[in-house]
Amino acid sequence: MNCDKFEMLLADAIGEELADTDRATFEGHLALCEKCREEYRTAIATVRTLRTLPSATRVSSAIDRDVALPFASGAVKTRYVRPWVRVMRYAASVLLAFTAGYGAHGLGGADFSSPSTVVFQTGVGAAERPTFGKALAGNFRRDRGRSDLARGLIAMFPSNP
Amino acid sequence: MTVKDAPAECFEQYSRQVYVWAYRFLGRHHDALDVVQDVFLRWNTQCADAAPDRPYGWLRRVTINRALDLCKARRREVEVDDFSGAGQETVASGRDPLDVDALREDIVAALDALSDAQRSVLVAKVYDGLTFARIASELDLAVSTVKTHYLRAIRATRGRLHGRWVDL
Ligand SMILES: [Zn+2]
Repeated sequence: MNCDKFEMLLADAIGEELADTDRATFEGHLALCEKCREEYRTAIATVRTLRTLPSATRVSSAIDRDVALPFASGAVKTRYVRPWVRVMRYAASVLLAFTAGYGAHGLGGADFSSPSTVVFQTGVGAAERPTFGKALAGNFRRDRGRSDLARGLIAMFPSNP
Repeated sequence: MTVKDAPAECFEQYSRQVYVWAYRFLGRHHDALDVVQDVFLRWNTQCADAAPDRPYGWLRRVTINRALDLCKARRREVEVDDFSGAGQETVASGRDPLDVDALREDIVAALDALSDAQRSVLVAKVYDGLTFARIASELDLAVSTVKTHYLRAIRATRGRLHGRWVDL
């Protein structure tokens, strides 16, 4: 086997997908070829280094524990729904309202400290309503954490993982 | 997921994953939240036009690109302020927090130098642990192409991390 043909096996090995049936071929070439041996060794070291970058390993547990809702939710009251589920439903409904073609009334200058001031209604002229996305994103940047979607997100991910 | 899925369902299904991707490269809770919001606003806009039929791949690509942009913007701010803004994070790697920040910066710079496809493959493989077959299906590429992207991404990254982080 030459080094070019070895490439696919090398990718398999570095990607931890080397088939048992290919192992002997792979190791046979490594034993004979110093260049590929170095390639393999340094690639493995690189992957190991990349993986030392920490991530949000405890996200799930942070989301799954009960968190206080930062806004009143008009969602399901008839049976107990875990707060984070309600938050996600609320955030989802905000997104849905937009995609369903509703206008976001008064979002440009709305007071986001009270979610009740965010009113969705039909029939607002397309020219006079800001796009929901722009209003939300703009507000979020000026005053982080105060848009409804941002409130939902902060409730979902309440602390550093 | 199929093309008929609403953005809101997508949000419910993938927001945690988007957060995890963003946090990995930003290391800060509120920056990661910024990215989550931004990505789903873009998703919303995208769906109004045509929903990508591979949401997971789309979200990964957009999230990582957005996180890298924010990282670079943050670094520029740090350079201007001459301020090292380490410290908010919990470090799970056993490295010193300042080291983790520096490592993150170098990894971000390395990823930034890759093509979109190489970057997606590298993150999917190294951090998400997906198989080449799954990545190929997500990105609509041949498996051999995915493997080639992976090798090239590893080589380029190794060049960037060589010496300082990777003991060769
Ligand atoms: Zn060789």
